Amino acid sequence: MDVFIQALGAVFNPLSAVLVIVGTLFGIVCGALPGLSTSMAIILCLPFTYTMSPDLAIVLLIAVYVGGACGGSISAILLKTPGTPEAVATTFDGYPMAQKGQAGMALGLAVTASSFGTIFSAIVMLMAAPLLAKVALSFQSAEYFALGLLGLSCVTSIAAKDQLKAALSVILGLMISTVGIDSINGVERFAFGQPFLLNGIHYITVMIGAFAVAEVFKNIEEYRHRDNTLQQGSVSIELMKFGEMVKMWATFVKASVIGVIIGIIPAAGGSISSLIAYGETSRSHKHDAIKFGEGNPRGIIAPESANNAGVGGALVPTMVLGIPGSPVTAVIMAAFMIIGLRPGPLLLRDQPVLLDTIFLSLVFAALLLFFGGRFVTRQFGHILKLPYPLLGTLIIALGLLGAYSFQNSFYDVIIMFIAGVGGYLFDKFKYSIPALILGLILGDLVENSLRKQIIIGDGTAMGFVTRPVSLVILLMVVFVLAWPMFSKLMGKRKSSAA
Amino acid sequence: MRLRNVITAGAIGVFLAAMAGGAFAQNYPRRAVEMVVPFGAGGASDIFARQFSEISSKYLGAPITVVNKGGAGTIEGMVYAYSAPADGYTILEITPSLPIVEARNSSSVKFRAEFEPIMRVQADVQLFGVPKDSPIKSLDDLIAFAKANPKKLKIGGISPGALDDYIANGFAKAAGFQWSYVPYKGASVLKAAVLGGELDVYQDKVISFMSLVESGDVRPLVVLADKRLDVPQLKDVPSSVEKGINFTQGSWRGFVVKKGTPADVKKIIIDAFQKAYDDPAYKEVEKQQMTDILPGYLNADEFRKSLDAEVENFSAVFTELGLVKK
Amino acid sequence: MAAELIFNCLVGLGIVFYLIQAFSLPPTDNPTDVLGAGGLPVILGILGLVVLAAITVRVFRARIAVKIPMFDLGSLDGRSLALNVALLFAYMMLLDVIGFVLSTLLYLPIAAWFIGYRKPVALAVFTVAVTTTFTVVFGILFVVPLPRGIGQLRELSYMIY
Repeated sequence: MDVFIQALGAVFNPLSAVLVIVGTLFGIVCGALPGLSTSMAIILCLPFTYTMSPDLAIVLLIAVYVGGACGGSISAILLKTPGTPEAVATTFDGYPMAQKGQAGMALGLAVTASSFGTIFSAIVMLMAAPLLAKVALSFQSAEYFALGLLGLSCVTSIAAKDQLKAALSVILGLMISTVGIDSINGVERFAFGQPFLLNGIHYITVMIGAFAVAEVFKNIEEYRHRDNTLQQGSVSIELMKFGEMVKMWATFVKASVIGVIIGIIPAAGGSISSLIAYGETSRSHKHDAIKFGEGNPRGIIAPESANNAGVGGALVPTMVLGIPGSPVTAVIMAAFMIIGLRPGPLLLRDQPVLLDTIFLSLVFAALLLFFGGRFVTRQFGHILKLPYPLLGTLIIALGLLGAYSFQNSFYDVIIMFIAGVGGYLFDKFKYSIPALILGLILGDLVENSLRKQIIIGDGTAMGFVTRPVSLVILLMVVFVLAWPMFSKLMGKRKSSAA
Repeated sequence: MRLRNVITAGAIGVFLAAMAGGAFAQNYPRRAVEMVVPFGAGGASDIFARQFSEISSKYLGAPITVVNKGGAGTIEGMVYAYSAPADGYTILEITPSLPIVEARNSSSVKFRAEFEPIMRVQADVQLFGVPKDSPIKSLDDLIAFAKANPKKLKIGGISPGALDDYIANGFAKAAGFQWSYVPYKGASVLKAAVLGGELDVYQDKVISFMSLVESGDVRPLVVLADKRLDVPQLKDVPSSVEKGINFTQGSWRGFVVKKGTPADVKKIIIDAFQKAYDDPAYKEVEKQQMTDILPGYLNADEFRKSLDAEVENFSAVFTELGLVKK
Repeated sequence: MAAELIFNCLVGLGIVFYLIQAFSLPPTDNPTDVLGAGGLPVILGILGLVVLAAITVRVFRARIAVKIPMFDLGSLDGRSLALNVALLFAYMMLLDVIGFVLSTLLYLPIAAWFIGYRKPVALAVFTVAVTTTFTVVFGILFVVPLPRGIGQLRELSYMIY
C-alpha cells in the first residue's frame, strides 16, 4: 500500500497533470494524422524526458501512447483514412456513421471506448501482470497460426453479403502479402528486382488508397447529382446519451478482453485484436436494427475498446519479460532503458513502484480522454462541413502525405495510387476491400507461423493439434466458420415450429 | 482562421530569416544535417543514432535530423543517401547489414564503392545461451550434441540472410558442427520463442542477455569474443577463442558519407563526431547499453580495412549457404 | 456484364502470372521447411482461380450491367473523375521534381476546380492554409523529409523544412 501511495504522489500532481494533457493531445494529433505513428510521437518526446525525473518521463510517454491509440479513430471516422494501423476496423462502421450526419456521436463513442479499454487493461495489468506474462509465452508459432486463422475466419462476418467475392478478396489480400523477401528462407518473391517491393506491401498504404482515395473518386463522380446543401447542413456533433452507451456494456467488456489477450502476445498487435473484436461483435449482433458496415455503434465500440485495451496488454510482457508486445512498446522499452530501468523478469522486484506508476498514468490519461477528449475530438467533426471539392482534395493530399510519411518512401505513394484505382473498381464490382485488407494484414502471420511450426516440428504439422492452446483456438475457428450454417438451421427449425 | 493567418505569417517570417541567413554563411554546416538511419524508428540502431546525433550536433554547430528509411532491408536508406548530393549534409548510419547487402549482391548500389567511412563508434558482443531447463549445460555439451545429431538443434535469429544467420552458421562452421537456423521477425518474438521453449539455442547481444541471465531464465554458454567479458554476471562464461573456435563476429555501428564529399567537409564531420565520442554524455550512453565492453571505436582508415575484411567473410559464408544473388 | 468479364479476365491473368512466378521460386534448402517459399503462393493461386471461375460462371448467369464512369469519357462525371485521377498521377510525379510545397499548391486548386468548385478567393485561402498546415506539421513539427524537388528548388526547400 505504501508503494501505491508513493506512486499516487508521483502521478497526481500539477506538473504531471500538465504532462498528461500535453502528452495525450500530442498523441491524439499524431495518431489522427496518417503516416505519423505513435512510435514516432514517443521518439520525438524522448529528448524532453532526459531532464525529467523517471516518474514524470513515464507519465508523459504513457499519455502519448494512450492518446495515439485513440487518435487513429478520428481520421478513420471522418475521412475513411485510418490514422494508425489499430484503427483499421474503426473505419468499417465509423465512416458510415459520420456520413449519416452523426460524426460527433461516432467520435464520442470511439473516445469513450478507448478510455474504457485503457482503464480495463490497466486494472488487469495491475492485478495479474506476472500471470499474463506466462500466457504471453504460451503463444508460440502454432498458436500464432491458429490465431491468424481465427482472424481470417472473421471474413464471414465482415463481408457477409457475397461470400464468393469476399473469399476471392481475402485470397487476393493474402497473395499481396506474399510479395517481398520471404521471411523464412530469404528468397525474393514477386519483387521483379524492384528494391521497394522487397519489404513487401504494407496494408496501411493499400488501405489509404483503397479506402480513402477510392472513396473520393466515387464521390467525385456523384458530386453533380446529389443534393450537397442538405449533406452539409446535417453534420451533428451531438454525443450519444450516457444511458444508451451503458446498455452496450457487454460489447465494451468483451472487446476489451479480446484486446488485452491479443495485446500481450508479442507478434500480434492492435490491428489484429481490433479486427477480431469487430468480427466477433458483428457475428454475435448480426440481427441489430442497424447493420454492421452501415454505422452500427457497436462496430465502433468493439475495435476501439480492443485496440486501447491492447495498450495495457502490450505493456505486460514489455515490463515483466523485457519483450515488447508492439512497435510502440519497443520504443517505450528503449525509453525505459535510457531512463535507467532494465525491463525484464527482475524489474518488478527491483522497482515495485513502477507498475503502480504506469497503472496510474494509464488511468489518468484515460480519465482525461473520457472527460475532456470527448468534447475536444468531436470538434473535428466540423471538418465535414467543408464543401466536398475542398474536402475531397484535402483527403487525397493528406492520404498522399500519409502514405509518403509512413516509411518516408515515394514508392508507397505509387502503391497508394494503384490501390486507389483498384479499390474504386473493387467497389464497383462489389468485392470487399475490408476482406482484402484482412488477408493482407494476416497473410504474413499465417504463412510465417505455419512454416515455422513445421520446421520446429521437424517437418510435421502435429504441433497444431497437440498443443492445447493452439487446438482450442482452431476449434474456435471451426465454430466461427460453421456458425452461419448452424444459425440458418436453427432459424429454419424455429420458423417451422412456429 | 486567425490562427492559420498567424501560422502563415510565421512561416513566411522563418522563410525570410532563413533566406537572409543562407545568403551570408557560406561555410559548412549552414543548415541542418540529415542522418539517414536505414532502419525503422525505435530499434537499437535508431535509438543509438538519435542519441549520438544529439550529442554531436553541438560540436558540429548545426542540428542533425534523423531520417528513418527502413525499406528493403537497409537498401532503401542506402539508395536514399546515395542519391543525395555529396556535400556532407547527408550522413548514413551503418551496421553489418550494409556490408552484408554488398556481400550478397542484393543491391545495384555497391556500398564500399559509393561511400567513405567516417568512424566506427561502437561494437556489440554476441552471446549464445540456452533456456534454463535445457539438458545442455555447457558449450562442450552443445557441440557434442550437435555433432551427434546434425541439424537437430534449432537456433533462432532475426531475418534470413542477415547478421544473425551469418553468426549462427559462421560459428558452426568454425566449430565443425551443423545446426538449423530459424529466422524470426524481430527481437521480441525471438526472445518469446526461447523463453517459451520453441527454440533450443538463443543468440543476442549482451544487453538483451543481462536481465534473462540475472533472473536465471537463460543459461549463457559462450561469448563470441577474444576473451571473457568483464561483467560480474558473465565472468564464468567462456569466450569462443579460449575454446579454440576462432569466430568473434558481433554487431557494430558507424557512419559513412557519400564518396566525393569535399575533404574539408569530411574533416569537420570527423572532428565533431570524435568530440562527441569523447563526450562523457556519450560514455554514459555506452555504459547503459553495455556497448563499452569491447572496444568498438575505429577511425576512418581502420574502419575501411575492417569493412573489407568483413565483406570477404560474409561472402564466404553466404556463398556456402546459397544466399548470394547471381 | 462485359465490363465485369474484362475485370475478371484481368484478375485471372494476374493470378496466372502470380502462379507462374510462384512455380519458378527456388526449392527450399531446408528439408524441414516442407512448404518452402512457393508453397503457400501456389495454394493461394489455385484457390484464387477456382473462386474466380465460380464468380465468372455466376456473372454469365446473372447478366447484370455494371457502369464504370471512370472509363466512360462521354459523360460529364466520367470526364471529371478521369481528369482527377490524371491530376493525382501528375501530382505524384511532380513531387520529386518541384517538391512537396509547389506541387501541393498546384494540385489543390486545380483538382477542386475540376470537381466543380467555383469560388476563387475561398479556393486560394484553402490552398494556402492547407499547404502551410501540412508543411508545418509534417515537415517541421514531425521532421518528415518531404520531397524537395531538384536543383535550385531543392536548395530553396531547405529554408522551409
